[in-house]
Amino acid sequence: MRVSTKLRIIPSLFLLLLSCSLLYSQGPSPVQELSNPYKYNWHEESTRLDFRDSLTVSTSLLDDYDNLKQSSWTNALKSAVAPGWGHFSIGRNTKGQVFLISQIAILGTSLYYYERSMIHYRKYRNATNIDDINEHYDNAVEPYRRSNLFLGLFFVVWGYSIYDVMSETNRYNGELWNQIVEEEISRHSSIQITPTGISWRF
Amino acid sequence: MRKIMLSMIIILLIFSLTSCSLDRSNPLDPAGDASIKIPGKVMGLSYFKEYSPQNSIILRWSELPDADGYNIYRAYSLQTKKELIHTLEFSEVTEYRDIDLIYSGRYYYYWVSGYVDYPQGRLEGKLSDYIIVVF
Repeated sequence: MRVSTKLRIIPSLFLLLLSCSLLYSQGPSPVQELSNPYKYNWHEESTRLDFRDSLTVSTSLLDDYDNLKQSSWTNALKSAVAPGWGHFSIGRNTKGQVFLISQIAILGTSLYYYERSMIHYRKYRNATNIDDINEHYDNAVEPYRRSNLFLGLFFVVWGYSIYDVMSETNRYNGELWNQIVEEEISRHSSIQITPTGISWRF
Repeated sequence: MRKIMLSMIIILLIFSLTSCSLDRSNPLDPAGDASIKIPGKVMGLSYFKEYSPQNSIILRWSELPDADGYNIYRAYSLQTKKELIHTLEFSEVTEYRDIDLIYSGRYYYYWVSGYVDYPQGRLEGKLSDYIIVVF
């Protein structure tokens, strides 16, 4: 009988010790942490208000950035659908024009050679003389190879334009953030240099 | 490493595209169908002229054992288009009389080719060397 009582007490003690150790190891809750103003050097009310203002400004800047920034995947899709579209979206008009013109020119050249090849190929398919069969086939093969070469080149330029628009969009987003921050800094500085002149705020 | 991979993909893409070739889809093309045999080239083409009962040029050539018949072509110069003037349906017949002569003192160029009939069409072999006849 005594032995069985001891056996019951030992697990109960173990559980009690375990719960106590867990309770002490947790430390202060996040609410307790936040309520401690000394952790953030909020010794005075003014520092707290300054922090709040800074947080508001940061949130506002991030909101502006989120509204104006562009997705690199969306621009990649645009450039995949229509050459140069992604570049035009981020204001890289020269690059957009270069990609648009080059891809149209390369694809046009490929189609030109393909059509030339098909003219001879149609003659080849209808030919009944062995000399005509061989001649028309040989005449069809060379422009067909050139057509494929230009088609391959088109895919290379197409792929590069997608890669380029993604990196350009990332650069654009970086520049956008810098611009937003600079505008904010210049708005709060006493001297403002604008295209219309220099203003001094007292 | 990434650039090397990209370059390799590009080279592979261009190589695979340029190595694609056109199908030998002509049913009479021996390069596309090994069962198609090309009739040989007609050899020994010769002529002689007859003035009566009407002006005519008689062409003769050696028989092609693998041919089913012959096509006879004529042109007035080497620069003008050859005109198919007659088709002989038997390989044993190796003579043709051309009576459709327009002017005397004119040059006539002749070619003869053999052909083989297949279910998918008629395949014509190489043209013979031409002969020039001044009538």
